[in-house]
Amino acid sequence: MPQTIPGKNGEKLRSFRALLAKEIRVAFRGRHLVGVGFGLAIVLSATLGFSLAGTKVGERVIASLLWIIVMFSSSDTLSRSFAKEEDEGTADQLRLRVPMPSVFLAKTLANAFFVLLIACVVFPLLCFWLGVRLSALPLVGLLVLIGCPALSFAQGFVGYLMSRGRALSAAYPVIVMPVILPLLVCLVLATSQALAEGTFSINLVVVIISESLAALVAGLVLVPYIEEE
Amino acid sequence: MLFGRILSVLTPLTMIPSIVYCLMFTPKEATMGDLYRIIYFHIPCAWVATLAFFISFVFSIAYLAKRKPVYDSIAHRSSEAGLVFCVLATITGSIFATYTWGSPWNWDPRETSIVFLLMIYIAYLLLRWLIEDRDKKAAISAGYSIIAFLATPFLVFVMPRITSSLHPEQVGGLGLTRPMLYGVFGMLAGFTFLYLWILSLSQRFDMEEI
Repeated sequence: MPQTIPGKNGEKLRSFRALLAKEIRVAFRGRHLVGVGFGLAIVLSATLGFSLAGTKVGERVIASLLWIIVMFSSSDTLSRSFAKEEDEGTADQLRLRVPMPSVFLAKTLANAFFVLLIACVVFPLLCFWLGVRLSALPLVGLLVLIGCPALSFAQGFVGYLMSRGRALSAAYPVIVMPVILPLLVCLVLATSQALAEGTFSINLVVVIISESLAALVAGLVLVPYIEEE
Repeated sequence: MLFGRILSVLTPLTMIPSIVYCLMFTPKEATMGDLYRIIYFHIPCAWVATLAFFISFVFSIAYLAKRKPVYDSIAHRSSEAGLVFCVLATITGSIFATYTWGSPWNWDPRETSIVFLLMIYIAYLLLRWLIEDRDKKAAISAGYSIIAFLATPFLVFVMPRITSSLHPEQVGGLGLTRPMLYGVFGMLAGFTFLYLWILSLSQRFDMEEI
């Protein structure tokens, strides 16, 4: 059984916490999250709300719109977070001081928090403009709470990979989309079931949680191997 | 080298008699007549595509663990071969769907899954194409291949079971008789040897380049 060095895990935890706090602070200080993330989410929601005003919109369409807006509004934040460290030359210093899995986890968790914030803007707007049933709101809200971290976990490792290959950031949406599509389909199916009055399949929630956790764990395991390169 | 030579003999030896047997000696299906014979190509193509993606996944892990260029080459070439068989499975499936369900595309969960798989491995090849440095390309694409393969069991096994499907295994089974099954197994073996032969040839070219 591997021996743990006293104090070493505590140090790792402290550096992880400091990194997480730094990520959140930097994102709010910078204009990218507020300007692009929230801005895009509000503009897209308003445009769709206006375009669909007065028409009867099905549950599947509302669910698809919700997750597509959340995904596009947030997809850039994570890749930027990794790429920024490489561009500013701080990535190597980070590697020297903090184990790379901790950096990866801190950035992915910070991104999960930002995606959740974006969803908190998009979700009420769409519900208000597209006339979602009030009784469906708690279940849909719960799916948003599960789905946002799930989306972040699923794209976290690809975001990290893209930052390792310079000049790849432009291709990020094309490379990450196929990997998160199965999860996105499950989120859309589960949300449309929650919006409708019929039965709700818990299997979809199990698939969403297991798929995203598998992606997160795989990312944590693989990061040190990629770093060897 | 020897492996490649064995496969170059084994592939035609298995494929030619299997094709002749499937097209000429297996009985007609009760409701679909001769149309069902396309499954002798469709099932092996889908099987080989899944096998190729699995091999790519295994050799991507091996590359990250050992850093041997030959593992990266096998992972890369296997994905390419898998993509070709995946396209063939989509085409044969669309032909079958046109005559049985009235449209070449029905958004059936299996059809959707295969499109997702195609997109994943096109993205994998695009990623490789975008990176110039050989070591970086190998490491990053191995990581992507592993994370991409995590979606495959979900697409192949889970998704068709959590949503309703038009595919025969969910609407009463394939209903194949014993001679038909022999045909399917013969073709499965033939296509597997063909894939391994393609893999050994393309991988040999890579090794000569390195």
